[in-house]
Amino acid sequence: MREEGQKYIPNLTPEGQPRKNLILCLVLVALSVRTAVAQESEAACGPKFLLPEANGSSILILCETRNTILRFDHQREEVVAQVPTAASPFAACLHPDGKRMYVSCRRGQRIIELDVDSLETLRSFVLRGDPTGVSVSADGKRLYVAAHSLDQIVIFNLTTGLEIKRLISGNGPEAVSLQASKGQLFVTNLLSNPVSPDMPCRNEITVIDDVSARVVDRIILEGANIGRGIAFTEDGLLGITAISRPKNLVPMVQVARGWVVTNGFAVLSADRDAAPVQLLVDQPNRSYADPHDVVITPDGRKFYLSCSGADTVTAVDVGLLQKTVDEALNGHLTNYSDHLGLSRRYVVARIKVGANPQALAIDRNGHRLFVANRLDDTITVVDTVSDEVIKTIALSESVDRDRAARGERLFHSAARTFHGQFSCASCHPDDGFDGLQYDLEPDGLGENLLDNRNLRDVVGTGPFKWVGSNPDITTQCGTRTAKWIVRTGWISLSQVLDLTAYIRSIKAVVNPHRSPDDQLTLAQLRGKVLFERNSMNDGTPIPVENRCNSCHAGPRYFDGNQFDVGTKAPRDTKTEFDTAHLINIFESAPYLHDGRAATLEEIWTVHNPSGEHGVSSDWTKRQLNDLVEYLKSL
Amino acid sequence: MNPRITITLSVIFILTSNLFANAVPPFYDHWETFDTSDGLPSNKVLCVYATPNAVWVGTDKGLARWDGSRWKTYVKKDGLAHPAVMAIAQDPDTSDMWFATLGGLSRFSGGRFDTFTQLNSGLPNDVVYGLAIANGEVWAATAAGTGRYEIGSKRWTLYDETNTPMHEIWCYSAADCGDNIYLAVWGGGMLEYNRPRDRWKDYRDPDGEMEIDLFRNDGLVHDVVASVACDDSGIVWMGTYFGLSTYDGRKWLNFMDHDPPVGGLVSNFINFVTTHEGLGWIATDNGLNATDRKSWWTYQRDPATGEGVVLLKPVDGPTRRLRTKTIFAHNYIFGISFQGDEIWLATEKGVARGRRTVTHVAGVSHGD
Repeated sequence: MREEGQKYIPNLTPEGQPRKNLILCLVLVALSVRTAVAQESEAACGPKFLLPEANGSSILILCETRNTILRFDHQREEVVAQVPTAASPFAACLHPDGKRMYVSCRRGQRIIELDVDSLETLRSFVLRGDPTGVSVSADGKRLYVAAHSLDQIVIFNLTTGLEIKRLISGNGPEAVSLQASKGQLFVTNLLSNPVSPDMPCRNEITVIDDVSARVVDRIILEGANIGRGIAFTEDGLLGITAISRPKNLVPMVQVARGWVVTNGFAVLSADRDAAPVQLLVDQPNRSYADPHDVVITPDGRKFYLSCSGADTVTAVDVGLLQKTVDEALNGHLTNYSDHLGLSRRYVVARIKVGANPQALAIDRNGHRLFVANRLDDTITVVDTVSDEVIKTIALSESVDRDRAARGERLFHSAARTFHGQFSCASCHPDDGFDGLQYDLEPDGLGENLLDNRNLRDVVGTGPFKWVGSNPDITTQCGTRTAKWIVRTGWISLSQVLDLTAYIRSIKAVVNPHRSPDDQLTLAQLRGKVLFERNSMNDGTPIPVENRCNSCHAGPRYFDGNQFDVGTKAPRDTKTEFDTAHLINIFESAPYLHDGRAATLEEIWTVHNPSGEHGVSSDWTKRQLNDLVEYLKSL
Repeated sequence: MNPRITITLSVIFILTSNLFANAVPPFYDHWETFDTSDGLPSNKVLCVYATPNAVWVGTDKGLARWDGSRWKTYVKKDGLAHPAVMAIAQDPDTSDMWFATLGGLSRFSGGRFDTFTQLNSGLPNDVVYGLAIANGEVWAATAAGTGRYEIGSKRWTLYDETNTPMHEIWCYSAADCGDNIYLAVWGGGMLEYNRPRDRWKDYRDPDGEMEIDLFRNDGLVHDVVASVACDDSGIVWMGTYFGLSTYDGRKWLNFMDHDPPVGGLVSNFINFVTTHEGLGWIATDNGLNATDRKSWWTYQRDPATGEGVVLLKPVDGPTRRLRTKTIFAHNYIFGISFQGDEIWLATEKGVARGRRTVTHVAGVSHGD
């Protein structure tokens, strides 16, 4: 009998102990198995790309998060097949024979060829370079792949499976669209071509002749950035591509005026001599952030644009649009590319869908629009006549899995920004950076121009901001963001923690300059020696504070301090800047705090005249080349 | 047709039956010259490069492209690295055009210029004289060594006196010849890079003499090599400022302007060599030569009359002299290129185009 207040101590005999342990173990094993099964069945899908099938009743869904392809019967509303892929399936295309399809797997660094009927993988094409958009030539002989981190279009021979050649694209090729009636492929590019910090950005659409497999044109979208999806009418006379138009050349005080990032599309007409007309889908008091994908109805009368930061799909009447375009081209409209009042002329519907709609697809007869809501794992089905949602189909049971998942939705939502102008992802597309420089207003108008920084793999690289004033990600994303960036005045602590958890989860992209086995090339090894040297070529000792690896130290090549490296500009109020970490520095041009160095070489050849950013005056050209090769490998 | 020209051509028909028996006669006539009045940025044309669809011309004041009917010019504000364009080459895989300039290397792709300089890239030096492109690589001959740019990986490799037998680093010209890359080095002879073996080898003037060639055909005629090219049979052609050298892998065959009889190499001062349909073509400071290393054709402008003087020097027999009504505008020739039946010459006074009209001659079989 246990006395009151006395703790219960199990009366375990030495004989009884093992038996109870065994039972405990079995229970734990059973629980863990159940948990694993549950996690697998409930793993986030992350629908990234949609490919309607010829039978009209099913659609293939690329699940970026779950690394699978789903064959979804949208009439029966069930998954009828599911196959694994390499990591992060991104885009897909059909072979002209209709029997094979190709899926780019961005983190998997390969493109897989599948049998359309069985979804069996037939072979794969390895491509270290972040494969994104894919397309097959009209004759079915070549595969075009956008290599995002190489700024190249890689062409494979589908007969031999071998790479044929690489074409130079714009900055971060994204989608590849074959326009068969023109015999051309159109490649959108995520980022602007390199421009100096005081010039408007210039987004490129790279045009490839399908017969010769050569670049024949580069359509420049002046003032545009973040090129995403592209679609053409079946006759090829009209093309639409999703873009944003950042206003980074004016101070961000314009947030309160509703004009920091505007969102819209570019119209590519058959008349190539005319510059593409850019128009907005925003309204004066409401923005539709982060245009992502475009589909045009088979009759060419309407197109849909997913605005992934606004959880909305915008419907545009092509006839009404054409009237506006004609007025623009005839000079009857001024400032039409930035005109917030024009969208009412051609936008016929704003369709509220799920979280972070990205991919769009339309069925063969044009009656149904499918919307992949990437961050709530749903597919929205829309009637294209009424532009009303017919149904929403869930692909997984739960989307509120953890803080990071909630933070990811916050990150990609413009709901908390003044007028819904932009999300975090607007300036950090694909969790990275937009390659632009901004004049943030709090430190004075026209002062302290700052290069936007890459958010990938930033855990442990604090403090943040170029002057190192924010000690951690939570501070960086908290009050500062609410007060100065999005101008809504308040983000709850819980939301800040969610956002922080997500940012901490963002991984670095695979570095194509580093060999898969992490072995350095001879040039990279020589560069490493230079990076770690403590004396000049003539034997003169280099002071500790002037060695590369003194500040760029440790596994992430930074020390968390700020230094004067001789880069203070006339309008800068600070002299010392944060030591940048060097992980995947290959992808984050331009460089230095205000983006003044277009390439890694320029950091030392142009912007280190007094040797304050490391002792570089004695380097030979070969040593500089070796150092750059090494830095690109980090 | 002008009767005089008709007579001249008739003579040539007969003569060519004994010359270049296995090739189309390299006779070009109906010369036209394009200059600033036609839209070129400058009359000083430093290089010319014909593609199947266009002719690119590099001058000291910019670039021009001939589309068959008009010239379009490109200057620095269009994105060209520097106005003075020294060499032009086309990537056979991508059709992108590359330009060697005195201020860096420019790539023209789909209408966009990208510039590589010694400050923003791994290019060894901004003074770029020569280019060769093959196998996804760009070889840029510069005033401070040669750079190899691997387009796919964007990797630069620099070759100079520290890692090759480059006795001077002033590289003037590069040529892709299958497994081998050849570099013409001003004062350093010719360098051969063998890709499969990753090995360098130098070819230099054995006597090392500036003014004389001590033993004929003992090696490179002189170390000041301005241009290098190779033909389909593997013969390497080297233009120096002191004569012409050719090398078939085993034997050297050298030529100088004082070799008898008259009608051979027109000048020892060679700016450029190239090969076409089995012949070597030599641009000199005093006219143009074509040769199969046995017979010679020489083209010169007669300054007195403005007409052309064409010398035909057969393997044996006397040299014949012909006249043509038209000819290029200046005997100082910087470059040569071919497009179909047309020859294009970069000269001190504009770019000249000649047309080959004598292609079907009795007794002469035709090359492909």
